[in-house]
Amino acid sequence: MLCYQCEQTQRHDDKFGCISSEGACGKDANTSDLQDILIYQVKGIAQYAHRARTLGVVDRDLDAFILFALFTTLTNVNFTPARFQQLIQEAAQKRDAIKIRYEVAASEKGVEAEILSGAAAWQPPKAINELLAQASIAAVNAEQETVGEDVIGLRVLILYGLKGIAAYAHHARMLGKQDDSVDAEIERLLDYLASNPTDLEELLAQALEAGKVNLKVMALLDAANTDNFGQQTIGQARTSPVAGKAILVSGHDLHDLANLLEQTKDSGINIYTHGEMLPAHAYPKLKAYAHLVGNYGSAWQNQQQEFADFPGPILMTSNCIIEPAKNYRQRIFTIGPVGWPGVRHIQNDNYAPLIQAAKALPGFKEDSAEKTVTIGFGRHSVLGVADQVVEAVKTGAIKHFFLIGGCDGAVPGRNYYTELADNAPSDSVILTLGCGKYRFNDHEFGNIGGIPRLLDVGQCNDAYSAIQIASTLAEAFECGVNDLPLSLMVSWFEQKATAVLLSLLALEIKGIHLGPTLPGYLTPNLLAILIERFDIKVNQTAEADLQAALGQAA
Amino acid sequence: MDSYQITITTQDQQQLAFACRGDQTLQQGAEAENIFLPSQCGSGVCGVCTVHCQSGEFDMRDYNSEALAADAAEQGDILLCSTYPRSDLAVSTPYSYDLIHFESLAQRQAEILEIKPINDDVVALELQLLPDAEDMLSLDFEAGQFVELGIPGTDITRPYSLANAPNWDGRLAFLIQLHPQGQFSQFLRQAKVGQNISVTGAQGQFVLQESSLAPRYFVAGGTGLAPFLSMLTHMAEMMDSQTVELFIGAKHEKDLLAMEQLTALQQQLPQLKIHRCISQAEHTWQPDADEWIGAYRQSVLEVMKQTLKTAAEPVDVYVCGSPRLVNGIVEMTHTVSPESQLFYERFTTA
Repeated sequence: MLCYQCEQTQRHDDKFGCISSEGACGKDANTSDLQDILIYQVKGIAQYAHRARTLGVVDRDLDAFILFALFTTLTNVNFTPARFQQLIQEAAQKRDAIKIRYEVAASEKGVEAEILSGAAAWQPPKAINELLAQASIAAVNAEQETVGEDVIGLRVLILYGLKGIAAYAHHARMLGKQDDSVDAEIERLLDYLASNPTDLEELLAQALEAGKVNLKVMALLDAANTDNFGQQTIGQARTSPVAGKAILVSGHDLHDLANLLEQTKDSGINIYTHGEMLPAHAYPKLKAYAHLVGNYGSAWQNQQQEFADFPGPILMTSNCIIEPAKNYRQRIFTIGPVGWPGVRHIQNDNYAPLIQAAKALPGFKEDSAEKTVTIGFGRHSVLGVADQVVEAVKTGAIKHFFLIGGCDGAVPGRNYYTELADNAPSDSVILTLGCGKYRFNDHEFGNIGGIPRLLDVGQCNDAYSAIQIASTLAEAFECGVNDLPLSLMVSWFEQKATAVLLSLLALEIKGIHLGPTLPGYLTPNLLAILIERFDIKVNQTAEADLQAALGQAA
Repeated sequence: MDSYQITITTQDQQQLAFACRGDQTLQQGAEAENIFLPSQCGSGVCGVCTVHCQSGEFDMRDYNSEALAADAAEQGDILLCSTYPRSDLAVSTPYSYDLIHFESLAQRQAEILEIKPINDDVVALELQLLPDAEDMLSLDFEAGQFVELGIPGTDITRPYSLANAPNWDGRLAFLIQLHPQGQFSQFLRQAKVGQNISVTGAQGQFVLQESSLAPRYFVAGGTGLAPFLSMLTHMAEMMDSQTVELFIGAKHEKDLLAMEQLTALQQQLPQLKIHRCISQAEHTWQPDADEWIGAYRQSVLEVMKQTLKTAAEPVDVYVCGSPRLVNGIVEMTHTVSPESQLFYERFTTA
C-alpha cells in the first residue's frame, strides 16, 4: 500500500506515506489497495460518462455511484475489504453499461465513438489474489519515476480534493439537492486525471477548477440543509446527559440524523450528537424534536474513549470512524458509505436494530448538571447582525477576525489552535467551523458590545457560510476579502478539508495558515509555488503567528 | 524472552502494574492483562498514548516525530505503542485512573427457557439472561466466543460456546454434549425450565477474522458446530458475502446436528456450502440425489484433505471439536496447504 491522503500519514526520514501492512488510520494494506483500484475504475467510468454527456446521455444513478465510491475511500470511512471487492465488480458492470450507452449515442448521432484504453478498458479479475496482484496499476504514485513527484503531488491534490467534493455532494444528494453541472465537472476532472496529465501549470489550474466546483457543492449542501431544516438559529446546545435510554450519532450526515429522529420520536429514546453533528442543534426542524437532547463528547479522535463510556448504541454516518474497541464494537452501527469489518450496517434507513440496541442498553441513569455551548452562527445569524459587526469594526471595538476552522486530530501539535484562540486579543472575534473547535469551545471568550467573541459557523462544509460572511463584510467595507482584518487558520485532516482549501485558493484568498503540518504530497517545489502565488503560510508557534497576523492587520 | 514489571502511576496517584515481555510494546503487554490505556493508532503516529517514563531502560522505535517531539522524548516521554521494555519500568500517566478501562468478566444470572434433547448425547439449551445491575439485558460477545455456565449452589462452572449470534434480547443458545460422568451433564439431566443458572463471560479468541479476504472453511466435530452456527448467523445478519464452506464430521448420520437450522441459514447465505462427512455411514443412508451434493461416506479429515489439495488459493481454516479432530486438521493443513491460516478451539470434557 501507499496512502498519504490524510494529515496523520506516517513520516519516516522525510518520506511521507503509510506503506506498511497497515495505515495510521487502521486501514489494512488490502483495503488500501482495493480502494486504489476502485478509484482507478471510477476514473474509467468517468471517461465514458464525460464523453456520453457531450452526446446528451445523463445517468444520474451512475453519477451518484461515482460520488458514493469516492466517498467510501475518504479517510476514516470504510475499512471493509469485502465491501470494496463488491464495489469493484459493481464498478466494472457500471463502466460496461455506460460504455454501451456512449457507443449507442455516438452511433445515433453519427459520430465515431472513441476507443478508450487504460482505466476505461480494465477488467477486474474475480479471484482476490489476482485482483490484488494488479494493484500497482492503480497506485497513487504510479508513473512517479517517469513524471516526477511534483506531477504526482498535483494529481493527488486534485484527486483528494475530488474525494472531499464527492463527500459533500453525496450529503447534499441525500437531502434532495443535485446539480448536473456539478456531476459533469466532477466527471470531467476525473477524465482529466485519467489522461495522466503532466503539465504543472495546467494541473494547478485544474486543481483550482476543482476548488470552484466545490464552492458550488458547498452551496448545494448549504441549500440542502437550510431548505430541509431551516436556517441555523443561535441557541444553546446541552453538553451534559439527561436520564434515559440513549443513541449517539456521529459523523456529518444530517439526513441520517433526521431519519433517525423521526423513527425514534415516540420511542422514549434520547438522541445525542457527537463531533461534527453538533450544529444539528442549531437547525429549527431538527431541534424541534424534543428527544434530540444534547451533544455528547468532543471531536472524532476521542471517540474510542467517549463511545466506550456512552451507555447506548452509536451510529456512525460518515467519516471519521476509527477502529471500534472491543468494549463497544457490538453496539456501534454504520450507515451509508461507512463500514468496519464485523460492525452492523444499517440498510435502507431501517433503524430498527439500532433502536432495539438502545432499549437493551442501560442509557443514562440520571441527569447531569446542565452544561451548554452556544452555537448557530451560520451566515444568516451572523449577517443578521452584520450592521452591528460593521459598526463595531468602524468604531475599533473589533480589530480583527480569526477563522479557526477545520478538522481536529490527535497529535499534540494541534494545541496550537487552542493557544491561538485563548491568546487572541480581547478585541478580536473568532469564527469556528469543523470539529477543531472542540479544543476550546467550552472556554470563556466573553463578548464585544453584545457580539459573542466566539461564533461557531457550523460543520466543515459551512466554510461556505464563512466565505459568504467574509464577502459581505468585504462589500460593507468596499474592499476585497484579502484586505479584511481577517486571518484564516485552517487545520486539516482529511479530504473534505482539502476540497475547502482548494475553494479558498480558487477565490484567490491569500495568506492562509495551513497546519498543523502540510500534506505529505506537497513537495518543496509545490509548496514554493503555493507560497509564491497564494502566500500560504506554514504554522510557526501560535504566539508568532498571532503576532504576525495582528501586525499585518495594523 | 525476558519479562519485566511495568508500574504505572496515574495523574491521581493511583498505581497499577503489569508484566511485559521484551518483544511486546507496553501497550501490548498491558492489553494482554486486560488493561486498556488510552491509545489510538497503535503505530507511533498519533501521540495519544504518550506517558512519562520515570525510571528504567527501554527501546523506543518506529514512531513519528509529530507524535512525540525530540525534546519531549529526551525528557523521558514515551509512546506506549512504540516502547519495548529492557528493564522494569516506572511510568506516570498524564491522565487519571478512571480513563483506564479494565475488562473483567461479569457474572450474570439467566433463566432456563428450554432443554431440548437433540439425540441421545446432545441437548440444545436455551437461556434468557436477566437484566444486570445497569438494567442491561444483552450479553456483549462476539460470534464464536464461549461463556462459563455455573451449576446452581456450587462453584462449578463449565465453558460452552454460544450457538447463536450476538443479540439485544439476552437470548443465549448452546449445544451441549452430555457425558455420563460430567457434572454439568448430570445437572442438566435434572434441571428444570424456569430455573436460574449463572453465566460468566464471554471470552475466547475463536472469532471470525473479519478483515481477511480468504475463503472460510469451517470444520466442526459434534457440538463443535455451536460456534459455527453463531458465526454463520452473524454472517447472515451482516449480509457477509465471503466464501464460506462448512465441513461437518460425524460417525453416524444420526449424529448430524441442527441440519434444519443450517438449511435455513443457506437461504440467507446463498454462498454457504455444507459438506456432511459420515465416517461410519449406515448402508441404509441414502441421501436423495440433491442431498448427495456435499455428502460423503468419508471422515471429515479425508474430505478436508482432498478439498485443500485442490483449493485455488490459501484459505482460512477454522476448526472446533475434539482434540483429536483439531490436531488432525491442524497437522494435515500444515502439510497440504501450508499458506492457509488456522484458527481452532479444542473441546475438552469435564
